[in-house]
Amino acid sequence: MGFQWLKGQQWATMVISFAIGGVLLGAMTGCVTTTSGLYYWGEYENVLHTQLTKPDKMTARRQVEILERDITKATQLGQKVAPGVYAQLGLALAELGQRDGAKAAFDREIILYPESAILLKGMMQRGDEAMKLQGVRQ
Amino acid sequence: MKFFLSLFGCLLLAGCASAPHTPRADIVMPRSILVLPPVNDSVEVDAPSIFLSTVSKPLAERGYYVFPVDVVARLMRDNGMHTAVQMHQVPLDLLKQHTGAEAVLYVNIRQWGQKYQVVSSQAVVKADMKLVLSSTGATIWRGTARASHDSASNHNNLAEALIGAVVTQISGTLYDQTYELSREAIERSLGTLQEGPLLQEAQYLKGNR
Repeated sequence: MGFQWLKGQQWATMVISFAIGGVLLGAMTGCVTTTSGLYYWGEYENVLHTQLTKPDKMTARRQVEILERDITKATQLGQKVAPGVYAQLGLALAELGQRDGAKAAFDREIILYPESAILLKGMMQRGDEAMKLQGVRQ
Repeated sequence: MKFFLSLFGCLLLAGCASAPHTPRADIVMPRSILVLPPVNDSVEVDAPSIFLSTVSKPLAERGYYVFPVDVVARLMRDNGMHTAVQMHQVPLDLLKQHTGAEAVLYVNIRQWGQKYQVVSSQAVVKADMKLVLSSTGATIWRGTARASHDSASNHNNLAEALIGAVVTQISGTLYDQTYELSREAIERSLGTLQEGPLLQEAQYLKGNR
């Protein structure tokens, strides 16, 4: 059996079989390519990079702008917002003094990722306590 | 036809390169991972921050909830801990109590930065990682994230290599190659980490759209 008999229609059949095989293989083994990941990440990594290395380079307002834009994009694409994005948005809103917005963002992270509940509820509680202390001083 | 079927069968057996072949049957993998700020053994002051900013995505895409690293950094500061060494010494049950984390990732940066070596300028990142279950203290995974990029690989003669080395070293100080290298290194190293519980759940939800 040589390859002389693979011509025209048979080549097409082989190519199509491999293509279908490849797709099925990918689906069955759960191979996740970079373009079809689990979540929508947007600029989150870049925001983290700036916040952690040069925090003065990005204002809280700019952070909010970027992250809200990403969240809108994710919704449009029908993709789940990545872990940590809403929480980061909450931090930025808290910095701007928008406490209700910050809480809403934290709550959103908790709804999407219940694993975050203990950490974020603790942060919110400490935030409330700090506000109460400030209120007493005034 | 038989030829195609057997070839297809071989493809099935080959599997996906990134998926581990023998999932651990003795433990249930944790749903959430707390990545603590890395201890830094390198000369690059920003290494831990760069690592932290590139670890969330690959880990989360592997099927784990990764706690927001900036929130965690603040939690540590709020509790009076300012160095990674101090943070790494916090008892596991205390970490679990305050974050609910099912596992903690301890990272040690070993090498990080742009090294000038006359005929080449090499950007290198290297970090050791240890994943520990917060309930038992057991280490369930170890890995080393390692990647490098050498300017010399593009040059065929000495003159080009010498110039290339200087250019790369200078541009390396203006544009940090380690950010991309960090991503690459971490992604590669996670190949041996078993997929997390969130992976199947997320894929199931995606499939049903």
